[in-house]
Amino acid sequence: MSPGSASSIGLEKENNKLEQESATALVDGIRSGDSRAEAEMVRKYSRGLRFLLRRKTRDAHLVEDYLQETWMVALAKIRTEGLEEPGRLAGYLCGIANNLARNEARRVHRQRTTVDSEIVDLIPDESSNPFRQLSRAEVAGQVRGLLAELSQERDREILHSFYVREEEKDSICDRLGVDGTHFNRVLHRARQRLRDVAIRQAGRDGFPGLD
Amino acid sequence: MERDYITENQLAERYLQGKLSSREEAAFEEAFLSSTELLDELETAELLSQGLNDLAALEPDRRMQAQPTVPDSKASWLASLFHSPRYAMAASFLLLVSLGVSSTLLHRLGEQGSSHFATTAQIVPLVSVRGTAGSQTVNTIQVGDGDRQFVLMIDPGFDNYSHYRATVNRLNSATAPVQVWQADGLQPGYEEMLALAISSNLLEPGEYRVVVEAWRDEWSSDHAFEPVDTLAFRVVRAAANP
Repeated sequence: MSPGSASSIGLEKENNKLEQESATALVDGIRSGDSRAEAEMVRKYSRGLRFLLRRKTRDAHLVEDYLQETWMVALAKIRTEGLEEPGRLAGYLCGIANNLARNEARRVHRQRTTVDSEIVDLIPDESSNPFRQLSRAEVAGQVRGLLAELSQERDREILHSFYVREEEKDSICDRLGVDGTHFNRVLHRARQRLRDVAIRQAGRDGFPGLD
Repeated sequence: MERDYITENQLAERYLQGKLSSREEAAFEEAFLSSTELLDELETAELLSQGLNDLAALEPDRRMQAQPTVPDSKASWLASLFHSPRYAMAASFLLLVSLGVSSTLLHRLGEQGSSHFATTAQIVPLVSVRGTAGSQTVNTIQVGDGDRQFVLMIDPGFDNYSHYRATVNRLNSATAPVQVWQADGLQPGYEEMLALAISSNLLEPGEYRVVVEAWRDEWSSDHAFEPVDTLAFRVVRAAANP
């Protein structure tokens, strides 16, 4: 199924609807005291929240502190009041995490978050994420191999211009005389290759859930 | 948020580059929080960007060969690197090396004070090897007849410490490992990596281990350094040119 086809759009809308229903069910479950719903919510959204917080704080220790704090704030609110738009649970969680990250910039000294051991137990460990297991040198080595495999110098230039020089897509396409489809294909293949490496490596190292 | 829109507009990369409007950013964050597939894409884009940027900074000569179609002059490319704080340390070091310029920075990095540091330095990212002993030879350094500087780049990991200590030991089957180099007070610099500048005069062919340890200022003086990583490398004699 190609992206943009009528069937893929239909499937996407269906997925969005399912996601909203799933989020609503989690919020309803937590509101009614279902601890399994709490555990599922924390499991499902922790990876994305960790990524968001890592981008915003650039501090591994703060990420874990704020992740706990996000869950403490969210659980307290949902348990007592629920949410006005339970289908937008993800947006609500992003809002808490962003507020915590923003406020940090105004604080020079910060007291460590009180640890809620029950919440900490629910949060999946970072080591379950295969993308965080490759060292910088390993990534650089893989990318070097990837560049060597590209037969067209132009394709190497696309990657370099976009990721290193941070040139806009339109500008790159104009300058190199390629269309947007080719540009997207080069990016997609490069990402796919690295993704496969990360997953394969994680599988070799015995990460849970990866065969 | 529609996947086609995300792909067509490179939202993953533009998010990583901080180029999304606040509205787009909020919508994109909400989307990737709910989507494993999108998170995979985002994390892969981050790895790709990181790898390409590392290579561009660590291998400027290769970079120059790979951009024949770029209209910018060499000077403007150098300037753009220097203007990026992210690569300032590596770029200033590497470009001075590539241009054959001796500088205080180079000598500071070359703690053993070699007077030939400027023109002959080579960057060696050391890979932390998982797996069997046989694969430990992945990090290989070739030494020749002349004096040369090697800058070993080491990823100290995620934990924050006050500073690091690195010790290079030569392995010897007949005796205990022999320490050939040590530096304390190291701080992560370029891309949060440790840079160890070592003269080839200290590196006879053989097997070596780099032991990286860390220290926190709040520890009492009787506290031991904490082990961070041990990396293996092999030094071989370069074949003479015919």
